[in-house]
Amino acid sequence: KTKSLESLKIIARVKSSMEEMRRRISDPHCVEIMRQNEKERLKIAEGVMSLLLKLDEIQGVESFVREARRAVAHELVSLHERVDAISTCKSTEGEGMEVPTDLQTREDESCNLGRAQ
Amino acid sequence: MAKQNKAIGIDLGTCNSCVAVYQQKRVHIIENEAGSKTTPSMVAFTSAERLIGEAAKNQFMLNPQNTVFDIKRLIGRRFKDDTVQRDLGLWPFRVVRGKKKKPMVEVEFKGFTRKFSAEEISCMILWKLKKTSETFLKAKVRDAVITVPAYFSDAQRQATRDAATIAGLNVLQIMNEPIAAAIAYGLDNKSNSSSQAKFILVFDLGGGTFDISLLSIKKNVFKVVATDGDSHLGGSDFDNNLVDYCSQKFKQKYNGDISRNPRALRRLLTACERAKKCLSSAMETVIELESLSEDKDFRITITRTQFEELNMELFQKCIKSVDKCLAGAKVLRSEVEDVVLVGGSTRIPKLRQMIQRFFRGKELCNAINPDEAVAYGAAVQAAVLIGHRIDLTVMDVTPLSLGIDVEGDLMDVVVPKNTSIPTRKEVLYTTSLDNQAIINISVFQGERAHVEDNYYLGEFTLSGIPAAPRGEVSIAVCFEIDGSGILKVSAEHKNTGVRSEIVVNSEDVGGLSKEEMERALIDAERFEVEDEEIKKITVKRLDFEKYSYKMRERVRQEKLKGLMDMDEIENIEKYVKEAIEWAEGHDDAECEKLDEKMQELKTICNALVWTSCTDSDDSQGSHSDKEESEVES
Repeated sequence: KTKSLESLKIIARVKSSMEEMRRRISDPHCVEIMRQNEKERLKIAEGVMSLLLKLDEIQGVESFVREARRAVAHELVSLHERVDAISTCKSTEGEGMEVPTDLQTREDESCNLGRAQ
Repeated sequence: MAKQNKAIGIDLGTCNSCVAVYQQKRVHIIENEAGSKTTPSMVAFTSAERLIGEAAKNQFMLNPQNTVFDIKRLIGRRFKDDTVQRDLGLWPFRVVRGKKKKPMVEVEFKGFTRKFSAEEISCMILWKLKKTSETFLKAKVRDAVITVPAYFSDAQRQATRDAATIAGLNVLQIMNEPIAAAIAYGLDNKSNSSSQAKFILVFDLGGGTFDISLLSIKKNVFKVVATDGDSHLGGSDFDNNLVDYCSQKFKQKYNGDISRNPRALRRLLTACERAKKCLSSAMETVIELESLSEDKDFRITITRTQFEELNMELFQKCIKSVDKCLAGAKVLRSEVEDVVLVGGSTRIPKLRQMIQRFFRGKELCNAINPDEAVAYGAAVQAAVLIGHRIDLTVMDVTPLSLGIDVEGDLMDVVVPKNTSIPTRKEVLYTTSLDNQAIINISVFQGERAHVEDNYYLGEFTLSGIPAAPRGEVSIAVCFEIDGSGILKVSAEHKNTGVRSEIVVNSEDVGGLSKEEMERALIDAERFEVEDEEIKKITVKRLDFEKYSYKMRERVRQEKLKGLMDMDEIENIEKYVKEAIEWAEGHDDAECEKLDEKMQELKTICNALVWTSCTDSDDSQGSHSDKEESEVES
């Protein structure tokens, strides 16, 4: 039981770090920096990756812990896709304009997931 | 020895490096700032700074072109060398041809394109290790022994020496890695009596390289007889095989392809590496990755057997190399005296088993952490070279028994001598007095029966034990010795969890000089018979005392119950009282006398025991046996 509790604590910590990441990705100013500087974008992607690896590290979980972990893992993967989307749209201005709406819908999606658990 | 007079041993590895120092009669592996005993041999250059070790590794994914590793594959070589040309394609950083046909790494550093030689990069790693040691020792470090593979050419050795010199180190010796490992196991001292040359095989399977070295030793002098191996075989190959297997399984299940999803691959690789390590101790492990690819969850159980099957070809390749190495040197496997395991991958049980089988069941030298064995030996050599007298007891086994004092000042052994460490032993003890609230536990080392003939290591008290009759309290005493020989003794009251402990300084545990150690062992042999007798008598006397006290208590109870004949009870009471007085006055009673007295008392008390047995669950028949087991069980 203590182990499950410990695992849930780790998941909660990862989740709060993730929220911080999400805030940055949602901030137009940060997105602009990432778009101009590939390094900055990579940094965020790495940050998300390290959170994912932290989740994967949790061993021997019970089903309710697994559910919590799955929800966060899913959100992190979708965050990755959003970070990737930032780079793919830097090629043309026109496509770049579409990003915010795209981001908006994705964010709604992940927010729902957040509440669902 | 003065504080500033310390020499370090450095294992400058291809993937990881390790630094150690000999002090206070044992070898310390020095931890880096991240608390790790090995440091990645990596240097990274960014627009702002230069990073070495852990810091370089952590930012690798952000900056692969400017993160330099594997520099050991370049040092002392020429750009045109086949090995250099072959490795070029494997690195994300650029290697160009420099002056004197030297290979140079080209990186972006603080906004400029800079070229560094392999010596310069190695120098940075060595400098970092030097700093780490200085932080640990709180003193300047200059002298060092640095290890290199046995097959290194003169040019490679010279380049390594140069790198160390630039790093501000005074190189005492450039030493062969396998010899360092052999010294770590004290194999140099083991042979000094015989004039016949002996063979030692060092099997080194590290993160990325595999080296076999056959050494000969004659009168303390090592020679490298033959080497073999594979410059690109190591732990990561086992991980990759596991990754391939998992990708296949994923494909079978979901018809999805992970191999084109670098992030999923990275998660899988990390999980596989962890699974591999886990399978060295567990028989099976689970890899569980949610949302791995295309939002599919991946879960697979890997058994040790599966892992072994996946890597069997590589294992066999390793064994073949050993065979080839011996054949090349025309040495029979039966002629090999010792086999030393080095490198993290030698923890794989199957590999150990195969090596052992190849050498017809020979015991392998594997007690020292295989990641640290080379640095360990280098540190010993460094200490020898600056004039330390090495009294190193290779701490792979406890040289003498460890135990605590029990009733009658007897030594009760908890960890017998020659127990391999690290180890953990727990024994249950009980109180020797009624309502005893405090227990004093003294820790001793030695082979003699009486604690006073052994070496005292320390003592501690456990207080707060709830009131209870003697013998009815359960105290768990636990001896724990870690890999570096530090002994921790703890005592815990089972029901309440009251706990107390002592850490015995490693200097004391391993710190007996060779002479003291030998004396202890000779004494143990000389007094073996005598000690045995002392033990027997003490136990008998204690049994006798315990029995008489127990009878006294029973007489009291019977008196209260009033079921027995009063005269009979008083008669017994008198005898018991006499017995107690006799025992107190006859510390030196002989065995036969004790037996006789015990028999007498038992006969008299029989009536008492018989009647009380009917209304008590306490079985008195095997009384003395039970008491003894309470002390030792």
